[in-house]
Amino acid sequence: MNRDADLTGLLQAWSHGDADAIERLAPLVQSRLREMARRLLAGERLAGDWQPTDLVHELYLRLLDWRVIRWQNRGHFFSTTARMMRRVLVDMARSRRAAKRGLGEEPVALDSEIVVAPAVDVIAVDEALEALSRVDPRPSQVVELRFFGGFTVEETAETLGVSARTVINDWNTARAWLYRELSRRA
Amino acid sequence: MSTERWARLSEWHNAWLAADPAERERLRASLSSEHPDLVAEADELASASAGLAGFLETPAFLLAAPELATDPMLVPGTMLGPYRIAAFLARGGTGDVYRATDVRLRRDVAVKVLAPDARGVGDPQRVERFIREARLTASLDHPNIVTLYDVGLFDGRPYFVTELLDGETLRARIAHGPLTIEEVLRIGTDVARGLVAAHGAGSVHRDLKPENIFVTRHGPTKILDFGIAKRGIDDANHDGLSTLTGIVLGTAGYLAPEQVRGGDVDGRADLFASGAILFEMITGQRAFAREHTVDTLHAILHEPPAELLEQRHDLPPGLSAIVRRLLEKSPASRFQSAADLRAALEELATPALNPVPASSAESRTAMVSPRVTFEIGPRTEAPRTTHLAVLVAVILSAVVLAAAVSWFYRRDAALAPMATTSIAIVPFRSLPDSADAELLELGLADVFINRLSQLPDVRVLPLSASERLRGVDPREAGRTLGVDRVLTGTLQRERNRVRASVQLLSISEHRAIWADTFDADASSAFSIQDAIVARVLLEIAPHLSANTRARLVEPGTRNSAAYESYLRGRAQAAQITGPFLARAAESFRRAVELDPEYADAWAALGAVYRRLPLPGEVEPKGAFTAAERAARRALELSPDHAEAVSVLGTVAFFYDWDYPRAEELLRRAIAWQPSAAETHQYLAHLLSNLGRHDEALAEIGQARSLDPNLLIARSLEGQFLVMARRYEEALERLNATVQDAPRFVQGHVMRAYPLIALRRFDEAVRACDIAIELEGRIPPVAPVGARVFPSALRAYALARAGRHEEALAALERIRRMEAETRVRPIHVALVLHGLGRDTEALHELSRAVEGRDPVVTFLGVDPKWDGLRASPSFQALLSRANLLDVSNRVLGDLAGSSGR
Repeated sequence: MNRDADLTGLLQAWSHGDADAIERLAPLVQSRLREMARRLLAGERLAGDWQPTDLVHELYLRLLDWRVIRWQNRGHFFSTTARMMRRVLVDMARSRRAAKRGLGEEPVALDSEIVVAPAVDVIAVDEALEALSRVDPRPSQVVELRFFGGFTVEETAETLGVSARTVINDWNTARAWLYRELSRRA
Repeated sequence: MSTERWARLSEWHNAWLAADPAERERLRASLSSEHPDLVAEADELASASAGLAGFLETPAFLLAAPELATDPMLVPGTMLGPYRIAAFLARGGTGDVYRATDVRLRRDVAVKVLAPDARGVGDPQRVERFIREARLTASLDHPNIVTLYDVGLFDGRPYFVTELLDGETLRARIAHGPLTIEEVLRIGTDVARGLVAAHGAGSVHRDLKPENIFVTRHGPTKILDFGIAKRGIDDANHDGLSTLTGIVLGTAGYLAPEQVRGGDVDGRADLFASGAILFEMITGQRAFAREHTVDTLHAILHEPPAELLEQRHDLPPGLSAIVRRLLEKSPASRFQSAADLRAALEELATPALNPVPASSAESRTAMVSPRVTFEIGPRTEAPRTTHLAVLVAVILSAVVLAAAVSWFYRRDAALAPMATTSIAIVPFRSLPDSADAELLELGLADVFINRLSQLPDVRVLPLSASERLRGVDPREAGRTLGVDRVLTGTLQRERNRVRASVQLLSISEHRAIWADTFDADASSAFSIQDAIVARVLLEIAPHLSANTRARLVEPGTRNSAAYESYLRGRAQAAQITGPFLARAAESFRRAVELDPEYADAWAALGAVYRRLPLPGEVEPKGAFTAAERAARRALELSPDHAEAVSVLGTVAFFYDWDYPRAEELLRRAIAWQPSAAETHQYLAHLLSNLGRHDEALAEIGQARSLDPNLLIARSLEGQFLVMARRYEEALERLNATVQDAPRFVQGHVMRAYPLIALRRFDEAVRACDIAIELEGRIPPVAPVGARVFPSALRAYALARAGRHEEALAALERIRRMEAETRVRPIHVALVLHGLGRDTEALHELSRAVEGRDPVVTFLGVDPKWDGLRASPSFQALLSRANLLDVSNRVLGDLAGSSGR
């Protein structure tokens, strides 16, 4: 279908260095994410079973047309997608923060069995991740892939060309590192 | 800091995480001597890791979902074709409205983007029809109809571009306070003019209401949403389905009687709506306002509107007569055309002919009768949806089943013996959609499934299949699942009134076999149900025994709170994971507390209890005896309760290790309820564990034919093939399963079985790694106990691969898990056996037998234990589990095949 080819083409263009493509890509992705979020919260089960990782994969299936893409490899796709998600989600959080400033609006409670997690300030994570990437780029990529991209250890390992063990080690340490950073800021 | 530093820090941190307290002391000491510069940061990370639970574990998108869902769909700057979104204006029933700029013409426009709706938008054919109709409407060029500039698709969703209007809807205008007679006449005349143009072009609005009329600040009043609002009804009509579905709620007050009846509709229906709108502008009250939609509909059909002159003394008698004539029940008695209405209103509006005393608008406003009250806007008290859902459920479980049964049997009697019919239940949609109703909708679907699955010659898809169908077009669903019939419908509730529209669709014949609408209110739900059941039962073929009939239609309880708990429990029990099971048990327990005579709830409680010990976290004894008690109680109340018998069969199998009795009971349960997928699975399991592999595979095939996508059945099929020692086949199937469902933990675990048997140990370890990783990522849903098994299997594979040190370390970790969960001796035994420490393994095994672990029933056939089959101690244990014969047969086969 057209709608996917469009988005996918933009993503690919972006991954190949067309910096402007993200400007046109982001609104499309945002609209699709909002739609997914509504379905999710309206209690619609996405296909298959319903663990968080499934939801994320389902998201990409709905978001992108895999067939029209000729990615260099799966890893290339994973890293581009994770980078896009990071960019879009952080942008959305920023504009929401700007819009809500002064309104004192409470975020809507997530009454869902699917997600049980402590609140995380995505903007702060993004900034701390930036700092981590200056320490060592790899752990920050691990977090980008896993947290923003929602990819598994295996997929992350494949993307970065390292072993699953390395990903798990980086992940453990990076989470502690970021947690410390965020606590310092708070 | 450098990459090298990170590597060192990370290595130390991970070692520290895996270490016990004493080891940690040592690690810290060696760090301060070797890399003193790292100590401070390492300490910080170590202390940070204590508070990490869940941190970043949930993907960012899911964390953001609640906020994303409430945002307007489009952000400023988004381009929809040539239109750039400028600002969000309003959220309506069908979609969000934005202010936008047409960048080609540099003019401001309004853009309405249809909200995503699983039923409509997304189906390309339907979207196309939608757009075709809208284009037709675009040809209506009239000052009193909002001008439709353009229609397009954004990201698969239709959007409409109209002129941007400055003002408010008539709904908002009425809410602001009484309208002067002049305003009423001006707006009424404008609406009539718009209708003249539209009807002249052959277009009927069909959903005229104050929400669809826009009062501009300076210009004429305009009608909105021509050709847009009512597509839903037309689609329903077009497809020959129920005519009332979906239109009643909310706008009922403006429907013409012929619309309520579902008859042919022409422009005179819009005139009726105009009358209702004029009435409301004059009085501030709806012409047919009643507390419940059904009463409103009744009033539209049978009751005259209130006398206008009593409500407003400044009313010109001519206007009152116009409204009365517009609200005539019979279209033939109304104005026959919009032009007639326009003429009548224009005449009134001409000052010379206006009989109203000339006074200022202000004084006329002041003359509004004090009896006029304004009850507009949302009602403050929301209805208690759960209670109503229960009510609906009570009625439906009786009516729908009776009707469906009667249909099946009528067919049966009329035609040659019917081939197996298959039916899927699509969870009923609640209007309006509400997330909190989901559990009950699923529960209700499961109740239908449970009852219908008792019919012979009918294949009923289990809830796992139905659940995926929520929000899917029923015909599409039917095709996808390859069933002949789909049962579906909608529930509408208002206060304590409900209406259920039910349809049985034939997929192959492209038609509704029957459709009906049922109403009830809270106080009389059960008695109405009895009346309807009695009526429907009259139609049922005589060969269906009174007993069967009663079982199929009885809700099982007269206590609606108990029924609610029961429905909730069924939906919870349909989830595969631990916390849901505990909640389901809680729901069923409440149901039997509320109604101790409720056989279905007792049986369901037993069915949950029997599942609890299987993941291993719950002691078998307590759970299985409780399961048996509950099932026996159910059978006392209802002697041929299939689910209860199924529970007893499972207990006999997994706990009593009385296999002949287990088989007899499970088969009896299946005879009574042929489409019970879960019972088929247990029977298949039993047969496999007894070494009757072909029968087991046939049985699991039955479960799979009920729902081809049932993941658990697919992984069991793999398991049974392994037990049958058909490893290559097993691996092939399981590979396909994990390919289709890469997140399905059980599939990965099961994949390790044939890999181990084929001595492909490294791959087996990897399969377990994936499973452990998947389990670890879903801490809130996976029972901890379930996580022990993949770890044990992994350790066993390591041991078999000769990687003894790793295996030992893994075993240590497993033993340490005892702090947070139950570690089953049989899993420890498996690792020990892999390491060749058979004495210890046998000791652990005897503990497993002692504790009556259900996994013991696998010992007879599981290839992993082949090495012990000849051992007398192992045989002694097997004979305690009544499996010695089975194991000896395996031993004989092994000797036979190695001798060959």
